[in-house]
Amino acid sequence: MKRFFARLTLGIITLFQLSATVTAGTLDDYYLQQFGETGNTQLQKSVLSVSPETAEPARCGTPLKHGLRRDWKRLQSSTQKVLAKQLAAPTLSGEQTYLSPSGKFKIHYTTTGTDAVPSLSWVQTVAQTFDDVAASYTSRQWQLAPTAGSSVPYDVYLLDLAPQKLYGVTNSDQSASTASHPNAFTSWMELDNNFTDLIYKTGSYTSLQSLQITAAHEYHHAIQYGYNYYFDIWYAEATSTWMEDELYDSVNQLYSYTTNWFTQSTLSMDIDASTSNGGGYGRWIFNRYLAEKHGTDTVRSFWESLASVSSPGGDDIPMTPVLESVLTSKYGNSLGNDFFGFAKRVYIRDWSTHTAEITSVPLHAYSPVASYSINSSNKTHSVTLPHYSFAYYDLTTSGATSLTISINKSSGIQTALFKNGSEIPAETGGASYVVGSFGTADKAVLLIANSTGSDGHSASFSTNGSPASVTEPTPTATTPIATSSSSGGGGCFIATAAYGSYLHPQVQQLRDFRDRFLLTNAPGRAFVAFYYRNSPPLADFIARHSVLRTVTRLALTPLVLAIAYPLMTVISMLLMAALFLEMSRRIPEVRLRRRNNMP
Amino acid sequence: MSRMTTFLLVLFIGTLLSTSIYAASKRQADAWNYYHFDGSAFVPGPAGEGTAFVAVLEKVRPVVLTAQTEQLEPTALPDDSGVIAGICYTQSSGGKLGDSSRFRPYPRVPLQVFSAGKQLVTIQTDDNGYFVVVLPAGIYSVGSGSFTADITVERGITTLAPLRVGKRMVD
Repeated sequence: MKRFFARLTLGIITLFQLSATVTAGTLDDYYLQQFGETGNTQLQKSVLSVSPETAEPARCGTPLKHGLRRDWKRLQSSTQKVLAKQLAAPTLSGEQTYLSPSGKFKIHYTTTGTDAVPSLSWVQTVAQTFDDVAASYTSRQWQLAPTAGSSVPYDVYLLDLAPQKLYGVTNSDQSASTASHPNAFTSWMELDNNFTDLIYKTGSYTSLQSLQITAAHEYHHAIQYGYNYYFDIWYAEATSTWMEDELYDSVNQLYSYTTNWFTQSTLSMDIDASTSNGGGYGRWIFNRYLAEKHGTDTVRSFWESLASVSSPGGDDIPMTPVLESVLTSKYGNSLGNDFFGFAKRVYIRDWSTHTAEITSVPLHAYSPVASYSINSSNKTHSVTLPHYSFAYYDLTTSGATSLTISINKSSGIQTALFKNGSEIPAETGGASYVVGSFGTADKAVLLIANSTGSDGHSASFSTNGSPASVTEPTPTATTPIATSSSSGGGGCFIATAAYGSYLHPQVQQLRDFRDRFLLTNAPGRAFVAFYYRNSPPLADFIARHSVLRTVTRLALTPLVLAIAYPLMTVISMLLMAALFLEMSRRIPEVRLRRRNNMP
Repeated sequence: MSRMTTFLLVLFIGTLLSTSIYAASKRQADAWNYYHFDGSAFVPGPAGEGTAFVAVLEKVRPVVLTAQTEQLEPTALPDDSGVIAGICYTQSSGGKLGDSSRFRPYPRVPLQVFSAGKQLVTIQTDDNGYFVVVLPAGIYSVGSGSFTADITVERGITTLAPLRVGKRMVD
């Protein structure tokens, strides 16, 4: 009897387990089928239909996504992984889809609510525009954006993005790794549903023009995900923006982004993307310089080279070394030389392509950081520049008849002088410029550029022959960025090892001290650089031994206390010093008394 | 010992004592520490109203909150265990008409935890994209699909890990 119940229980458990598995599999297959994620599993292949998309397979996806949300926890993790994008992708009320004529794009849209499209013909226009964009990229030999399968179209969702002040968004999706593109990813896109709102009309652009440049821009991001997911954001925006004008030359919105770069040219070329300082977007014009000098394939060469580069620990791959590598190996040049050549062209404006736009769109003129009259009392000026940045100075005269500029500069600085638009050659050695005839109607323009990847290069120039001395920059102590691949880092290696986490309050105090008191002066920076060079092996050793961690914490305590309570520390140290002096004075007296048997 | 020496010694000890008392009054060892994600790393302090952050205390399971509360009930960690707490997020960059927010939490995404190449457990982020997993001390690989991070778990310590699982190019 006992054995019977044991077998019955075992049978019930087995049956329950089997039914649960079967149910889970059915549910998984249902959702995978409904969302068109046929995948590659044997089970899915045997169950799912693979009939091709029809021209207008209108269907409403909303209840399906609600169901997916409801049943999410009941799905297997592999199914969740495949369908995660369906929860991330927008849910359109009454969603319908339209396949572009080439079959490459599936436009998701709705005719109701705030996301409603103006008409079906607009949807067709969107689809045709994307087909045109893809054809243009193909003719330029770009590899089109990968999708979940060779016959699977690229998803574009039309939404009302005006309240969020967006033209479009391109989101990464799933890995599409291949041997030649190990970090390739698929993606999907959101686009404004009509481009009729006022925010899109600031430059008198039509809805169609806004659609065209947005499609060109966003689809290039999709292409970028296909080359390497770990692309550097600033260069991705620089490339997508440059492509807007390559594909739709007559729109010219992109010139508005260069102004904020040239008015803030002392910021590095690879700063974060932001239209407020020309970061990313405004940098597109550097691509035009490279395309004019080396050919339009140059930019594609960078992305092709990036395709095989590995991510540094899950972070994005810095793009300037890639540019440097390609320009050197393929074009026999260097990023430094091209950056300096570009900086000169910003003033000279001797662009060889899109020439009609040079005068009709005067938004990419140079912008001096300062203007000086060479008769002013302060005749020596100095500037320190971060990597890949430049500064222009205007020089005029109210009485002098000649101009001599003497320059002291560190090794990463290149300079050029122009008189009324023509470049003046430097004197032998490159340390001075002489302009023999220079009157009140003339203007000289001095360019100072840091054409290296190192920060802190400086120059000093003078019109009276005595520029200030300059020093070579100290190697910068770079604070490791906390990344997804590392729980440590953030600086102060030894303290991090001792306290167990870079987020520990004591470690935070030490970091604050470094940033506020050490990195603000040259000796402090030198110490930090020395520390960062030499401490990691010691920190590793400490981290592996709990006794050493305790000892290090004890050893660091006075330093942490000194930083936390500086006034009390100073008082304590003064008292200790006074005590030491008093004891030093007293001990010989006591010894003498003892030696003489005196009381 | 002269009067002067005695006076200095007393003054020195008094200074040290008062410093210690002052330091002890500010000691946070038994108080919860708050950390929030700023788009690239966890930084000290709670996040703005309605945005999730983590409350951390040594040897105690961390708590994900959306608002500061007066009392948090500490749940002690098992011996020899530590915690990985973190956020799964999509990095958000750019904005032609204005800078966009820097990240979007990624809710309900399954994460696999591996140890020595073997899958140990699968966890899922909450509605705010946060996750908390208690593990024996050791080295683990945590992630989703192509995005994994190697994280060391130490006894009694909460390791905060931001996991980027996607990118949004915003224009």
